[in-house]
Amino acid sequence: MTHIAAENLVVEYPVYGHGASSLRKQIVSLTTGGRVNTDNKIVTIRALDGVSFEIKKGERVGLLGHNGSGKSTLLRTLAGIYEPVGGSLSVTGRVSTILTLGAGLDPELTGYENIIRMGMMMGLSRAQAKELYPEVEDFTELGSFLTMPVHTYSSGMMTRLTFCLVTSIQPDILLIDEIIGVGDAAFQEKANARIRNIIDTSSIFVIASHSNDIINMYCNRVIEFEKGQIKNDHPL
Amino acid sequence: MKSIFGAVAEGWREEVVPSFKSLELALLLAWNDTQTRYRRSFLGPFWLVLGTAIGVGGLGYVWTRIFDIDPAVFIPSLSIGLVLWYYFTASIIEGSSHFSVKRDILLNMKYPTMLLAIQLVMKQIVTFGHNFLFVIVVLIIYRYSFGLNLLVALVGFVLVSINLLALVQLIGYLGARFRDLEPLVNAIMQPLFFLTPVIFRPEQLGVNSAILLFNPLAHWIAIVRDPIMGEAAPTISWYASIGTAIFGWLACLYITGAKRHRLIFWVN
Repeated sequence: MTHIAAENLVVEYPVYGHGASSLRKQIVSLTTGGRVNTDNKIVTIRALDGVSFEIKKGERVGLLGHNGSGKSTLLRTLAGIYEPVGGSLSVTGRVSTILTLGAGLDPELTGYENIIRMGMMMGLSRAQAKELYPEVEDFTELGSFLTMPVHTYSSGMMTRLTFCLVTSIQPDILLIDEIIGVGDAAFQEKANARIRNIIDTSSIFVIASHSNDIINMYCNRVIEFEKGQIKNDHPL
Repeated sequence: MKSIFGAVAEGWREEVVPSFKSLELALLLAWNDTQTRYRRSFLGPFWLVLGTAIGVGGLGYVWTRIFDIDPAVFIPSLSIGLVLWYYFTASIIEGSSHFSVKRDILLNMKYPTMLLAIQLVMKQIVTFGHNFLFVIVVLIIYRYSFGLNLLVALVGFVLVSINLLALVQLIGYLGARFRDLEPLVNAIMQPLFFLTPVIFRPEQLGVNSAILLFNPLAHWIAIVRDPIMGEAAPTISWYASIGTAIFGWLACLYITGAKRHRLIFWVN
């Protein structure tokens, strides 16, 4: 049963380079006893500060907020990349992410080679990954570009490829950060249809964006963030 | 703060087990790395082999003259030693920064860090395999026989690689946390080269050869090189290599289990 529940979620980043990051400082602190101790405290940034919400299957949630309000941190926490330092989080279902454009793709490899690579990174066997070829050819319409190295792609083309691959493993939970806006209108339409399709097969979709248009197009619920806290949470 | 035992257990359960279930993926990624490094190159990885060949040719010529040693012992010894040395240093030096290099993967999906270490070591084994072709040519030229001794050498190589994997993971974590480690490792590897019996034979040191006992790399080289050359490696070298493996793996499992959730912030 696909489901996300967060209760008083707290995520903190340690920031290095201002305190105890270099080996010399650690060694110096050994020799000088407790004197530099204040310097040794690791500065932390509280990126999510006591956030509670529940997302049920079929919900398409848009995360709104200023830069640094906690949207991307929340996505990474839901994906299991960041570990919360406080509160509780339960995520049930297979998670797929598009957080950075082209992440996981090897720019020197061709489109086809990257299909195998990404497929296997998402947990498919080599044979299963190969079976994605027709689907990717059909959805991305990249044609003979799939035989070219990925570094020759425009960012829109890269979005098509990543989006198609990430959604092709039928995730229960799809987490996307911004990048959908990169594609052209034709792609937007296709992506929208595909997301609706995923939602129909009982899933959750969460997208972080600055654009109201994108949120209006994809989502049926909006959560607004401010300084790591939820400011507003309402259906659309 | 987790207990030491708890951290070791977590490192094993959450990192090592899932990583070894994805060995096929690590192999593919290692192959991808090798492929892309040489995509537009004519000789590809064989540039390295050529480099090794030139190194052995030059050093071998000069050294056999200066020290008046038997080329039939020295040249094969030098080739195997050098090829192993490249395998060690490339893994260790690359290991000291590889989590930062691969941060894109870590930042975008839940991915066992140990799998990245396996990928790195596998890539270096692929390179070693290329270099080893040159060693085989040298062994044929000097009429060495190929028999069961190669199986012993293979056991040695596996043991060395197990050691190296733990070291890469350990150095990877430390290097991600302390950025000074990478230049430090670079600075250490060069002098260490001269303290490791690559361009000399252990027996040439005479009484001073005791210092080699404290150099794990010397033991790692011995358990692979000696069997290939049809000699038995010193028993102490086998014990030492097993010892470093146990110690290295405990340290690597501990740091992995204790710090695997912190790593992402270290490379960020």
